[in-house]
Amino acid sequence: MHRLRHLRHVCLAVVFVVMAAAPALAQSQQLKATVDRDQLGAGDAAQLYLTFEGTQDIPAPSLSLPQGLTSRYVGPTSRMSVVNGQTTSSVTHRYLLIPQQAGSFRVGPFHFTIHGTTYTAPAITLEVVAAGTPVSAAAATEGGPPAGRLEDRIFVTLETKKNTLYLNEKALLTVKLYVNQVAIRDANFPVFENAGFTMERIGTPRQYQINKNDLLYNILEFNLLFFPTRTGDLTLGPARVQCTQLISRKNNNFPDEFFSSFFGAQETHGLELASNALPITVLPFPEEGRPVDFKGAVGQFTLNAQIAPGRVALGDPVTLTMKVTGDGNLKTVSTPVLAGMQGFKTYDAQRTETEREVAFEQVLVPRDADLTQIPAVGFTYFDPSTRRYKTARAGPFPLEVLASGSPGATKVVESKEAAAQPRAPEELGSDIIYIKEDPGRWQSPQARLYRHPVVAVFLAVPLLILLGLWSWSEHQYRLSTDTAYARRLRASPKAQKGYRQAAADMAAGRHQEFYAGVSRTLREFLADKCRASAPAITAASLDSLPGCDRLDENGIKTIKDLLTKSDDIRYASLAASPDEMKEDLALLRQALDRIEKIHA
Amino acid sequence: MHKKRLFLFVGMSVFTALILGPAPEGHPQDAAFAKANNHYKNGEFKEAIAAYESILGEDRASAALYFNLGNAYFRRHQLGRALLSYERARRLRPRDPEIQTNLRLARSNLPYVRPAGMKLFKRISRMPFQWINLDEGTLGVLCVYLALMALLCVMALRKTARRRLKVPAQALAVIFVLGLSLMYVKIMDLGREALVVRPRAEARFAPFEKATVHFELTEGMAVTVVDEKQGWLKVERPDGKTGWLPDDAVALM
Repeated sequence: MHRLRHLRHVCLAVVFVVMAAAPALAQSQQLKATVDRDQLGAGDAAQLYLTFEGTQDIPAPSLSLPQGLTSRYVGPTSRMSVVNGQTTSSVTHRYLLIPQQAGSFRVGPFHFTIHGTTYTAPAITLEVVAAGTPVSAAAATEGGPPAGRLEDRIFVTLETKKNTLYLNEKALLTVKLYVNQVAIRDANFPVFENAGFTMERIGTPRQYQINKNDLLYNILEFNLLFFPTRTGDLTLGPARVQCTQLISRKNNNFPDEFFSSFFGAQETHGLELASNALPITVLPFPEEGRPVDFKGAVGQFTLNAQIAPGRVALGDPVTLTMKVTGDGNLKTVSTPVLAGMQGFKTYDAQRTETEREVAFEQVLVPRDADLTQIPAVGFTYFDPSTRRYKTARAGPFPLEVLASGSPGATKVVESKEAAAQPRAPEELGSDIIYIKEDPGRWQSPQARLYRHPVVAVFLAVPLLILLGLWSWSEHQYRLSTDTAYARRLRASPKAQKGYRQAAADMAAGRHQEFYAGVSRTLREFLADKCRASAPAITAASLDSLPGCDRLDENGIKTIKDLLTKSDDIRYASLAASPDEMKEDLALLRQALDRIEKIHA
Repeated sequence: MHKKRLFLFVGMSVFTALILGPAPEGHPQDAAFAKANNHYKNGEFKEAIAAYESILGEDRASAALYFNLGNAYFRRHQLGRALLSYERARRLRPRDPEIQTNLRLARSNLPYVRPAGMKLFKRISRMPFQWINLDEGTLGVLCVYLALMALLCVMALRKTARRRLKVPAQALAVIFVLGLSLMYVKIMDLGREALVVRPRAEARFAPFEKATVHFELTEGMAVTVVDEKQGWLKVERPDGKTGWLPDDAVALM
């Protein structure tokens, strides 16, 4: 039982493998090469189909084609079908065959080895006839001359009238694209790869027709100026022109030419056409008679110059405008030479170049009031037609320089017309401003004013002054409004003053004045301290005086004794000895000290 | 009245003399400066840079030196460093039109994009220093302060004038406080403002090479240095975003 089951599994596996391999075994791998037509005109294209049967995993093979025939890969087409359980697959690679000339072309035989499998197909023959010739007549012309070659119907020429030039000399170069019965578009401007020349386009390309060798050509003409930049025997060209060729793909479903063209499509094909090369001999400038100020300008030029204004104040600018015009290489025109400008301060001239002239604006500042003219300017160039160096001159220019501040000094004003006319925006260059010659004030990179001690002084001193003034002002105000405060504050100095006066009177032996002073000093000091009236204070009223309770008994007694003695001597006209006065002065001192402590 | 004017004149003269010191004559750096200029004129920009930098190494600087150094860097296409030098020159001579022109040109040649979100107060606080330098700001605040003090002194002396002078004094006090605040912000920024001098710098979340990139900075962008750690600087963009950069990617202004 077990063996039967095993046998059944083996059979099923064999059947499955056979069925899976069947489609592959059924396919026969082969290559078919066909073209959509085997006769065509120059400028047309035929399609080549390479069909690989039995597989789809075939990359596009590269073709080896005969001379005069080019190809372009269009793309693949895959196909798979199952009929009665049989699967077939194929891939077709499509190419466009483009003949470059009329004639018979044999394409193939085809022989490719891909993924270890070899595919072969027999060769195909293409008959290409000249454009305009009926394809059916191709057989009749077979074996004739290669009429209608593409390079005869579309080509580029390079022409110049001068093959011998001087360095930097200007010459005209013409590139012509000849086209006869070939549809092209998008012709690019010619490209040159030559070293030793600079090119400059002039104008726009010109189109016209000419008859050449009994063929009517459409001409596309490009004009350029070229300038040799080094001497020697050079080669100019070839010029390369890229364009797109339009190739009509005819629809074979319509036998008639009209309908075939009408329903057909156009395909594009890139073309790069190269012209002939031109030998050019470039001569160096002759050394003989070469001026010192010659800077390489070549051509025939004239120089015109003028100044504005002709009357200026000393130090005001004068603009010298110089225009170099003529036929030649304007790129080589440099600033005309200004000689004898010692009395002027000069600036770099501003150069402006247009198609036919180069203008220079030179600003001159007269530094001497005695100047009467601006000297003549000169421009040296080499004239290739005469093979000689020439110098164009302009000037001198009369100039009136007025001393600064003189009444006749010119005042520059803008005219109303100039202000009203809109000016085209001037295109200015931009670059950094030149370095400074003056180093300026050196300082430490870390130095800061706010760290300077003087700043702290200038901050502190006014603040202290303000605080002092404010305190003093407040003090004065209180003195004027607070009488008690004022009396209390003035009491001590006044008492001291009275004491000094009493001492002076004692020294002078003026005992009356001495005791009057002692009495006054004591009463006023007490009155100021105790906010009382000085005349009302007597020895008898002393006990009732407010504040006197802070005095000790000895103090009160001393004051009373001094007041009594003073009154006695003053009013009773008693005498006092110097010793007595000295003793009383000491008592006054003690009394004042005791009174001082009342509000201490 | 004449005595007061004379006093004011003498006071200002003394102050100026004390601040500015003696007039510079035949400074030792003049020869080195002229030599560096000669290198520049001969198109030897690398040598010119070295010569200018050597003067800076002697702790001497001037607006012209920074200006010329900026020109030399510009010619060497080191636009970040050129911008840095022009900024330093502008801080010394903010109203110099030549410095402003070259600064603008250097900025226009850099792919500099100012990040949005700069705080309004910071923007306002920086505005005056587009026109004046720090020393001029100090002098201005000091003058306002002296004027305020003078006014207060008059008010202290003359009580009758207090009411009349109250409003001018208040105005001066406001100006003084405002100026002092701006000066404070500016001084706090000193030593922290920096410019990116590499064509492109990646600010990372941490101060090491493998840390995640937070944002990119382009040459000439202004940042504020907020921290420093072992060859790395923590910088803050004007919009407040922070990241760590190698210390040679930025230069302090």
